[in-house]
Amino acid sequence: MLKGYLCIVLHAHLPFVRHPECPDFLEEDWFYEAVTETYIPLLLVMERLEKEGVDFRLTMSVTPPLANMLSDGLLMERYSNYLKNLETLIEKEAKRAVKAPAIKPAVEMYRQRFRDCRRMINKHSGNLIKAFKYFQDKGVLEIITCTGTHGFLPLMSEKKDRQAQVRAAVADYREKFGKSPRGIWLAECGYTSGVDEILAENGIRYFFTDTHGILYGRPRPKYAVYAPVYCPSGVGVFARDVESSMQVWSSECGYPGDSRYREFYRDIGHDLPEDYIGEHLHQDRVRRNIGIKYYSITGKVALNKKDFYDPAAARQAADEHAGHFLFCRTAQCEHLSSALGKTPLIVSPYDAELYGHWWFEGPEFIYRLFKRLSGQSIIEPVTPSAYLKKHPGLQILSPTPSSWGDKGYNEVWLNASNDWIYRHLHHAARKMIYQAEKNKNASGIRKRALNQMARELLLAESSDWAFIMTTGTMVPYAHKRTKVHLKNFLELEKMLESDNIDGDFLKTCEERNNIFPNIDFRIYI
Amino acid sequence: MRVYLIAEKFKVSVSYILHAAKKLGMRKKYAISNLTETQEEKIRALIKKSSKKTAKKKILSDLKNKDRKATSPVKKPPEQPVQKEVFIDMGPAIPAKYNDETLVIMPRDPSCMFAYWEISRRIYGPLVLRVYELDKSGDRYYFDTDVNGLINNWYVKVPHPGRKYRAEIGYMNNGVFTGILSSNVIDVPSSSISEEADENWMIVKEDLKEIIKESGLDKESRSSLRQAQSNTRLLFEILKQGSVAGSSSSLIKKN
Repeated sequence: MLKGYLCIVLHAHLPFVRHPECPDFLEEDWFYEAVTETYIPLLLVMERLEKEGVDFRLTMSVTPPLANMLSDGLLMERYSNYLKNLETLIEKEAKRAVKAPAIKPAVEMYRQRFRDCRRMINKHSGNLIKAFKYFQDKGVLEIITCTGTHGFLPLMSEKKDRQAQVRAAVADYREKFGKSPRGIWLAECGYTSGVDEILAENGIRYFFTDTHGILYGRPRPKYAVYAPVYCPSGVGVFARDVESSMQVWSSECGYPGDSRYREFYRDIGHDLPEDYIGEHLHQDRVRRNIGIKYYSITGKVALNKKDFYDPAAARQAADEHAGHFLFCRTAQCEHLSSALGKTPLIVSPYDAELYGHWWFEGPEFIYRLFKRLSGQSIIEPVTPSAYLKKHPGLQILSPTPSSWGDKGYNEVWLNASNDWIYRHLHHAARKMIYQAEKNKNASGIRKRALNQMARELLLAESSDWAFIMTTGTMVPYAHKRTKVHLKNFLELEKMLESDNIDGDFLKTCEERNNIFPNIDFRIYI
Repeated sequence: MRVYLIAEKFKVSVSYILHAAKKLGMRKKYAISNLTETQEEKIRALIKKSSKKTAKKKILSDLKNKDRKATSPVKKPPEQPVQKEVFIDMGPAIPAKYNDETLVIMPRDPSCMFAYWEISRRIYGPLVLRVYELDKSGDRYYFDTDVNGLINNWYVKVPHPGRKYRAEIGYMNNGVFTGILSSNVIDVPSSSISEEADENWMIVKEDLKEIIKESGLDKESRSSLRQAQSNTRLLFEILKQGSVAGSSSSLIKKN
């Protein structure tokens, strides 16, 4: 007897970090690590489910910056080298493990993982977008898009600026996935009035907000957050369920803190002797995480008191947690369906990178969860599209401006550490809109300059930079990226205005900041 | 008091103040923009203490160096000038001004908004930021915030969550406000469950077409009878709740 629907959403995003000018660039590691620990492991989970004939429904946003990195030749070539380093290292470790049997199960696990990564990139000739597309075409995975460069719409001052973020995303999605996106993950769930109209104009059928986006909407939501609603523009809105979020997110009581799971902070990049590990580190030989870790969380003990990691025990833990998660959803839905007089929908969105990168066993949890879901009929996994199709009559409601950031509104992206960026971003946006209109018939080098201006502005608008300024780690890089893109934009605008475009400068910008290869600057009109 | 004003007062950098605030536990996750007087005092004490400490350290290390120089039998190469600061790349310089007069406001949360401006013309009195609360018929009322001095941005408390606001910047001359620039209009978020309980329901036309198609009402798709039955029932359920209207979508008013 069906008691509820479950919509699991993974938001996969990384800022566009690509530095062809530097062969060994530290921040590119964010991407390589996420590929090894999150994106490929999630694909492996889907592969396993498919092989075992388990029908599942997963929703995933692949943001345009991430999609552009996953299909970028240079980055994927560099990823191959990154993986080569790990492959060499794990073979050395396998030899060492003969005399240190305690690490052997973990070493074998990593060996298998790296082999799988190699197989996966070879299978899709280095373009992992194809792998995601494969599962979308099979009907088990629904891929949604995100604002163009993960731009935070509520803090943009011009409608046309917000519009360009959405248009760039939709055009890029079509290129990558061969159809139009049905849904969008607004960066940081950042919604403000008018955004839904832009989405409607671009054929997008639904988006997500945090719980209070709907709960505080007008009029009052009849089914709280347990049924989606329509904005007056006809775009569907799905709001986050708090209970299921907490079970995974919470650092206090969440699943990822189980003692059997892998400890993130003990890494052989720090643990092993310099002369052994040195050649596997970056050129500067500073000790950093390499991604091979042999210890379990163990408990609240010092890092040097941790027990060895037992992959089998960790998998067992993931299975128990999947069981617990399903048990809780069942209880929740039974309660809700009797209280609401309607079959509830539970929307559980998470950052994809939490699964695998931070919570190493996260992908295994997803696998076990879908496996358990397929063996019962009380909770049915759905995608937002499928739900809307089945339940077309929904309440109309205007969501309140909100985000899923700390405190629920805009403060994470607007505070004393980052408020200085907006006068520059808004100025550039106004200039871009003006120049696009004025030069809408531009061709040749002028058109190229306008296209590049659009890329630079979009990149400067990535909400990641403001976020990094707030959190306080890697701040100089965020400052640099904001200013570099603004500077490039302003230079190009000046050249365009004086009709004296420096071809070399333009070419350098195009080569470095090559996101959206086929962008059309007229998205700003 | 604003952090940068305190920084000016103590002759240290803003980041120094922020760092001190973090050390003293005043700042948790975010940088803060304002400090109370007691917090300011605490920071002043810390700055005093640390400047004493560095002075002491300097004397000690000077002494040590002297000692070593005097006693060491080994000849040392001439001392290299010590590099004082590691170069941290914060990116290229960007203009501080654009010669483009603007006033922009942005909501921060249900009770606060941020305003920034650039004014290049001459003004004839202290600068004032006037914030208007709007309703459907226009401005309801306004309040003023004094923003005179060498600043070009300010956080303003707003009285009512869930409302629309706009602002003007101008100067006061003999008690008369002369507006210079007008801002955009913003929606400040709500912070509670709405009083409005009227429900409106809708079926998006695209779906409606699909349902009709799948329900077998059109001739092409009469294959799945069960699907058709359930969809028809569904369609009936929804439709009986009200009449269908609207152009791009069907709007249903529920009683």
